[in-house]
Amino acid sequence: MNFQLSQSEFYILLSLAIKRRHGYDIMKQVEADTAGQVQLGPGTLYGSIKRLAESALIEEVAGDDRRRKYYALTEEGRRSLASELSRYDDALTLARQHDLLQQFGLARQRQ
Amino acid sequence: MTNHVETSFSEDLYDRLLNLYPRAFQQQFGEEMRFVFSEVLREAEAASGVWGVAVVWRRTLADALVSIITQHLNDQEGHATMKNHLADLVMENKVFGWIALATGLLLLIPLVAMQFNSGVNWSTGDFVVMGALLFITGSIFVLTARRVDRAHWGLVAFVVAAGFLYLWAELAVGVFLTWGS
Repeated sequence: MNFQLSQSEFYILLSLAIKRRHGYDIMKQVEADTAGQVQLGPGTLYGSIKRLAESALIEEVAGDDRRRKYYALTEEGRRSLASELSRYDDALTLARQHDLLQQFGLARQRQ
Repeated sequence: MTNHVETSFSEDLYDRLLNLYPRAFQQQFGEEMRFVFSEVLREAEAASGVWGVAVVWRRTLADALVSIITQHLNDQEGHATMKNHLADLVMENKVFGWIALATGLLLLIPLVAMQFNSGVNWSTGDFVVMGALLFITGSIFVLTARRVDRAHWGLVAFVVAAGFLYLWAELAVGVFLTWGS
């Protein structure tokens, strides 16, 4: 898997791992997941959706509201997200082993 | 009622902004993007009124600037189409309306920045001078481009942009003359 996920794309995949969503729903979920740290504008959101769809990580699916386009993770998208999460997990384990979370003042926030 | 007028004006303006994306991208996502923008706008307006609308525009302009350039760079076909559109537009007089619109949008950047950053403090005169400078620069490019071969438009754009930057620097701090404050 050579596809390099940007920060926006990672959070979009994460939001779609929970359930299928339309654009506005993705935007709100990403904002909530990151406590407002990542706020996607329409251009960035749909630019990312385009790239993810072209790479077959997400696909357009039917949804409750016919006026909107809904997106869901594909199997390839699940694999890509799992691989990315595994990378973060490894990094976090390593940081814990070296007491880096405490050193950077992150231990309390993450517990 | 006033709020409704502001919202629909913003939506009309956003429609124009959408026209700057590659055509294929517009066709694929334009309607959805407009939908999302409208929802964000209404939510912000309901929560914070005109201030909320201003915040949405500040984010939207920054987002649009980056994403429009990115989509054109990513889309070779769109790139060629944009060049053709630009070439056609330069020959039509409505291009001056677009230059005026672009000038207005660019002036929104310092206007909005002033609300958040006390370091940005433009007077009315500054807005008038910068507005005139931007509009005249755009118009000079168009009028010159109409008289030269398309192959040389890049050079024309470079010279005009360099002239704009020189005048801006001269007016702001002075380079060779004493116009600057």
